[in-house]
Amino acid sequence: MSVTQKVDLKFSLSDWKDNVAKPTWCPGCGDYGVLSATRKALVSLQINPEDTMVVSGIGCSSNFPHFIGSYGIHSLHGRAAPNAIGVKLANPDLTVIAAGGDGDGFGIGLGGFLHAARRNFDITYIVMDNQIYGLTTGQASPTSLIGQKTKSTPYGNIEHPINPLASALAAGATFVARAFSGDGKEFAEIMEKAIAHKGFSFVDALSPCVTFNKLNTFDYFRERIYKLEDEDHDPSNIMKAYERTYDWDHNDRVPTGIFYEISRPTYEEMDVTLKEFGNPVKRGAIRPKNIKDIASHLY
Amino acid sequence: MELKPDEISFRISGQNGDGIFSAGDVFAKICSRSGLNVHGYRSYQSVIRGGHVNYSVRAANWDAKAPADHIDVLISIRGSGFEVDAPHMSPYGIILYDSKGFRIKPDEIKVKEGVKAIDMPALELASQYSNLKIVANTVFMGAVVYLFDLDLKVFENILAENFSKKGKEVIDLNVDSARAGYNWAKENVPQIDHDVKIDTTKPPKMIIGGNESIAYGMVNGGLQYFAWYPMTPASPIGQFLTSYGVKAGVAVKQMEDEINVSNNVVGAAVAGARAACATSGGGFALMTEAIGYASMVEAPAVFIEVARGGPSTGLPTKQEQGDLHQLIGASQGDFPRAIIAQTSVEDGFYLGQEALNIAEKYQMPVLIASDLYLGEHFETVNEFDYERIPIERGKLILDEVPEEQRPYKRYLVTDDGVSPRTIPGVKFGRYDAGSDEHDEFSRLVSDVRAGFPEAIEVRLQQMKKRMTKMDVLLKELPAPVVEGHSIDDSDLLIVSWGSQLDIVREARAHLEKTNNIRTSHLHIKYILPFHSKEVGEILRSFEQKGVNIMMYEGNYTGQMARHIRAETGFEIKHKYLRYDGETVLPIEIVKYVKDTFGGN
Repeated sequence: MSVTQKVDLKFSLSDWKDNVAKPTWCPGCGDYGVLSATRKALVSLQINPEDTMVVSGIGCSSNFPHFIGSYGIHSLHGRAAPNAIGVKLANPDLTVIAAGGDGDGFGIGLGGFLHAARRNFDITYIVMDNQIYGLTTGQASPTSLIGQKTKSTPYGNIEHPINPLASALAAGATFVARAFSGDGKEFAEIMEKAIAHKGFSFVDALSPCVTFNKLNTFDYFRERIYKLEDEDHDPSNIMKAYERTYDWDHNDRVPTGIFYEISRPTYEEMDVTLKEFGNPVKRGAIRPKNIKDIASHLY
Repeated sequence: MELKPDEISFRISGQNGDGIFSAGDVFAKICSRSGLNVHGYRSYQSVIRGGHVNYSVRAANWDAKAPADHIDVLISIRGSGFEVDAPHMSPYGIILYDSKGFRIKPDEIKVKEGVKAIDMPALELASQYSNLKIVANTVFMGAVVYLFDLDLKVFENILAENFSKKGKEVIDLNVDSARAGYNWAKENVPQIDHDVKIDTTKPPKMIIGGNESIAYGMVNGGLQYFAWYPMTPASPIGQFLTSYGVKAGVAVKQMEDEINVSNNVVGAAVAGARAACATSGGGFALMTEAIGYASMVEAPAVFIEVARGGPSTGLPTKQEQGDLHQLIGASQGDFPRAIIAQTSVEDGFYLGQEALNIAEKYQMPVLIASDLYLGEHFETVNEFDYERIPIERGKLILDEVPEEQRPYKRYLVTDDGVSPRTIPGVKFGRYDAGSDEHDEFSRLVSDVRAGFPEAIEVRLQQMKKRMTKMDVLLKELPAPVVEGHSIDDSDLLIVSWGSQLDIVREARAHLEKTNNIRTSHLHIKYILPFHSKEVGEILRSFEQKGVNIMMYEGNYTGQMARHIRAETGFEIKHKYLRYDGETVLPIEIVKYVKDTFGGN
């Protein structure tokens, strides 16, 4: 469904664009493409901005909630995932999107990312991966490549980069994808599927930093990128998905698209309180009628 | 013995794995079902098997709310009880042990003069009914029921309840074992002569711990969300909520660490849930960044800190009031938050609700200071007043922002510093809860606007707006009052805080009764915002009258005394400071007072 062809949409692009702050990213930053694709996907899915919460950590890309017309949380460095889970479990009817960078999600916030993935909350986690710490002006990140010179690795990076997609698979994410900020059309399609997926969706967004990362540029990716769907990849096969996540390492080819997607009950569907009592926020803060019964074992 | 004691005091000790805690729980229940008020606490170690643990229960017709100074009857399952527990026996006390069954050597058996150590063949008696070693505890407990002249039938009923899932055979063998112990004691040991009236017809009171009481109170206060990570001694709060809170609609989430517990709770709070979390000192250290964050985005959340012996991993199973400065200093910058100490088991039930109300009314984090002694000891409590504290959610908009308030300003400047708050799903109410400095509309002033005159104005405006909440809150909180003798009639003012309220009260009663020392008591509950004026006036007026003033608290440096000095300029010179990790007994405070200020 293309946005421009529909005129009777309940929620349009302007609902997601107007009355929000103007992005403060550097001209040419990959994050613009991510923002635009995300808005398009949300319009395409006809999601109500007032029933949506976008949660971020800290970093250049974590300013994301300020640029999108939903409710937002701009939390602490590395804490997008635990905040997002709190929002979702408190009010499971909300569409919850966590957003941040590679330092935020794979460095300081790695634990929260992996645990959110294994729990399969119905949230979408998008990491704008530029392989550098931008807001602190250019130090190595967990995804910086071997040999890369940065402010914190002036003699070249000697640490093996983390493989975010393989990590997400190992943690049990039920939707694992990679998208390239330079390909808005494919990005919006992937985002749409990620948000629509019932369960934890992880999108590793290749989003070049034009200021501090002179290695992993738009051109770097254009030379190496191929689409998984063009190579007959089966997204239900987790071992094949693992193989593809190592293509960059092994073959200097960078696949984009959906690596893996599977259906598994979400955390909210299985949680004992939510099953019995429904949405905690919508139910309200009330004095339980059975308050005395729950303490009967204390006599 | 001239006077019969008006209380009974029991302890059972042994190794981890000896079933000490189950036996102690049973005795507490027997007492409460005998119409008595009960106080109990456990002493244990950071191991799962071996070591030495004990469980003390005190019961009386009057409201016993502090640990007993002495033990009347001790079951010492292992020889270590003679080293650790026997020195605390009453002069007329009785120790039961089984030298053959539990291989206690004659040279281990040491007792004070007057104390009777009785070698009881508990395991041999139990072996008539079961070959499980643990059944010896039932035999011992049968004997204890006799020694205190309690009703064996009450014990039998509890056994039937406890083993109801295991079937009649198991119930019968336990009842038979209890009777065997009771009858053996009747033949071989004199009873403890006490003046405690047993009434098994009265409906028993609830027996609840300080951790459970605050958890239970929060449920009554409409708690919707709780997150935790296991840590001694705070875990029973999470344990209670995940077992019983969920039955009343509380969503409970165990997280991967305390950093993410605290962030998870802030997320839930911003989404509109009444939210709380609990931990001990080490976990709280990890939570601190999120406390400033909660205050900055003006999210209501309750953080309970059940302190244990520090520093670092410290004494994980021991008592200390050593985290006060950590609570006060938690998180960078100046920001509004309330810090309130839980003062008793019963207080926990009401404080849990009050804390949730303050958090929502003032849209700020509320930190609760508890500790191991308070959290883990239990008492019988009078029936809670479930309706005393209404659920107050403050300026919360739950459906749609009224037209006159649009465009909506989440951080609107108001007289009381509190702005109308929306939650996701509310129409015309969208905003970003940002941990950066922001304007009334929640727009950042930390990036491209920083340093411009307009942004500087915003910074000043929002700091003042947030901090105003502290002044307004202080007016709502009850100012401390002096208990006991008035200033004209007092020999000593004792200042204490938090968990030690009832221990000091009992020490004061003792000082008055047996030493003729008349005392007054200033107990601090509300730590921030602090009643600097009122506390300063109390201290200065007692000093001017020439009344001695002392601080009693459970840490090395006198953290509350320092807080009081910082807030009032008044220095309390005499300090009784305890940091040995042990539960403080009233008699120990009495001794300090007599040693320091004289008295007979």
